[in-house]
Amino acid sequence: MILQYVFIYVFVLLFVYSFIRPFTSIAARMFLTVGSLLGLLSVSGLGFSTFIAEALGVSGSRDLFLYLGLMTIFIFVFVTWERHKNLEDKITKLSIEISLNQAKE
Amino acid sequence: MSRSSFIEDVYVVIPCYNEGAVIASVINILSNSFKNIVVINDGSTDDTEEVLNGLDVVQIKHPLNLGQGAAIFTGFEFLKRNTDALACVTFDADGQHSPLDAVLFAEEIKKCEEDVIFGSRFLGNQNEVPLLKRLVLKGVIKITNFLTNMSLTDTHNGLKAFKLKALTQLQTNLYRSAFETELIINIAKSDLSYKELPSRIVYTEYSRKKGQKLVNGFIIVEDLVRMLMKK
Repeated sequence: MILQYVFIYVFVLLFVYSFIRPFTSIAARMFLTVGSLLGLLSVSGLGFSTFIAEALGVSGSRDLFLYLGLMTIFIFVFVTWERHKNLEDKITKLSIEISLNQAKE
Repeated sequence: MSRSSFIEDVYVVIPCYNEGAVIASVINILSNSFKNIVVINDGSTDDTEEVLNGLDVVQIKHPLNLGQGAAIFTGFEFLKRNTDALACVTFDADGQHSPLDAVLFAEEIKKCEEDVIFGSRFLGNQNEVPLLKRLVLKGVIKITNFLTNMSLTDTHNGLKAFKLKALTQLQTNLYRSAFETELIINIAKSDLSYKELPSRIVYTEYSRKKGQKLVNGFIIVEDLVRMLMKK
């Protein structure tokens, strides 16, 4: 029970933090928001998640977990891909500068 | 033709990746008309570097393969920083463009008012473009024109001419597959003027093997949408 409260506390903190923390992209913010929400629902018990699922119009808590899980995975993949692209751009810029400096010599 | 009658103030920029088999012949033909040729060796792993060392060109070598867009960007940066060029013509290394077209583009960019000249394989005789390629390219062109509000007849042709002052206005980011798209979006959003000239493309067995695959059309459209969403 104590562990459950600890996890709920952590996920609520993460959820709130996802709105405060400055992020470089909306996707990164969404990843923390949706991920912490998924975590919060996972530890808050079946009754609460069923209540949320019904409130959202999702047929049951199982479906809610599935949707949130899929969203989290997709956002994670997107964030990773964006970061990979940004890194690739930086390497490209660096390589170009090296090439231009060598060409000048 | 004496060396002094060569085109001096328009540079040729050639991005090059593993073109050791054909690059010498392409450059030899171009050097009959152009004095200044800049070849960007984009991390070739074949004998391209050795071949280029034996030719009268400026060779800029990328330490690793960065893609055609980055290679062209390097060429532009080199011209901006180290030369007093008036304009430049970009030319594919696989020999699919006509050197005569490059000369025409160079002469035209010097005297015309436009900042950029796009080559178009669809102006004039289209019969040489394979049917399937023509269909895919037409689709990509329609989507590009729709999204950028431009009216180009060919959006992915390697033969182009740029006034050097136009290059300084372009904020081209470096994307592997999307350089052409990024360039078009940049021009669409800038004050730069442009026009098109017909360019003949020779589809040899070699250029077909080396050239863009048709399915890359999907990547181009994806890049286009992504970039427009970003800006």
